[in-house]
Amino acid sequence: MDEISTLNDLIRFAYHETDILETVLISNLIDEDPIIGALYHELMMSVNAIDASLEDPSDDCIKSVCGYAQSIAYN
Amino acid sequence: MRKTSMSDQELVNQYLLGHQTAIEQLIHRHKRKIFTSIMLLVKDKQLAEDLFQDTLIKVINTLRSGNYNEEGKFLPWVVRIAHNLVIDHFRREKRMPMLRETEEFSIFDTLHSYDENAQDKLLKTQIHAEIRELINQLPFEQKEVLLMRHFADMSFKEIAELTDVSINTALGRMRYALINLRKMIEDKKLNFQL
Repeated sequence: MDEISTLNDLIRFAYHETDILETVLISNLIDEDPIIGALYHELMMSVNAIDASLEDPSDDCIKSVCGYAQSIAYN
Repeated sequence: MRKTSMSDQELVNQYLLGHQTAIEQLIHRHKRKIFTSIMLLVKDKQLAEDLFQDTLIKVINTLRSGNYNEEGKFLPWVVRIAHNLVIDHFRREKRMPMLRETEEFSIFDTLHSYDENAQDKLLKTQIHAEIRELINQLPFEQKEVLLMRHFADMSFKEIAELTDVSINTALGRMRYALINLRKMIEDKKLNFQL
């Protein structure tokens, strides 16, 4: 693997787009190569930060939508 | 009816068979990604909630009319509807949207659970808002691929096709988006794991 494809493979691995063989190979690489492991950790920090920034709509908003779905169910 | 283990497509099918709770499960499953993807574009919570409601009303109406044919791609379809409504809104307001016009883990895993006081909650809310603002500061192409992959659940192959680049370019843009986001978080010393 050259450097760019390794980094791109880490992205695919982070987003669960690798096949079974790739998943095993990349998992081993992350565990055995400290540089790759550190790179993966850095990428996952950002992925987790994006997940942490997700926000809920208000309860009233959800109730309004669910209420609409129910109201037209009986039409 | 089985509950939490059903796929999006199975829930759609159940809703079309008359099981009302199926659409509620779909809404609860995806509400955060749909809502946050709208918030990132409009940056106004009230407006985002209005557009979120409009989006889901359109989704419900389309499902009931029998015009849904996005097998296995429910979330990308919904986010596409949401983004088109955002673009329509900006057109009416005569402002350019934040994105080009296109067609088409578990939340909070990293947060430790403990008893939060009001101050911690407020701090967490502020940090999360700052992270969303940092996402908005990414270069256009990086933000675009990040929104499509992380919020709309599109594959990198689909993103590459839609944005007319190679898959390696799409992957590279995502890589830079994540690296740049990490640098910005470090620069601002944000502790999003609060």
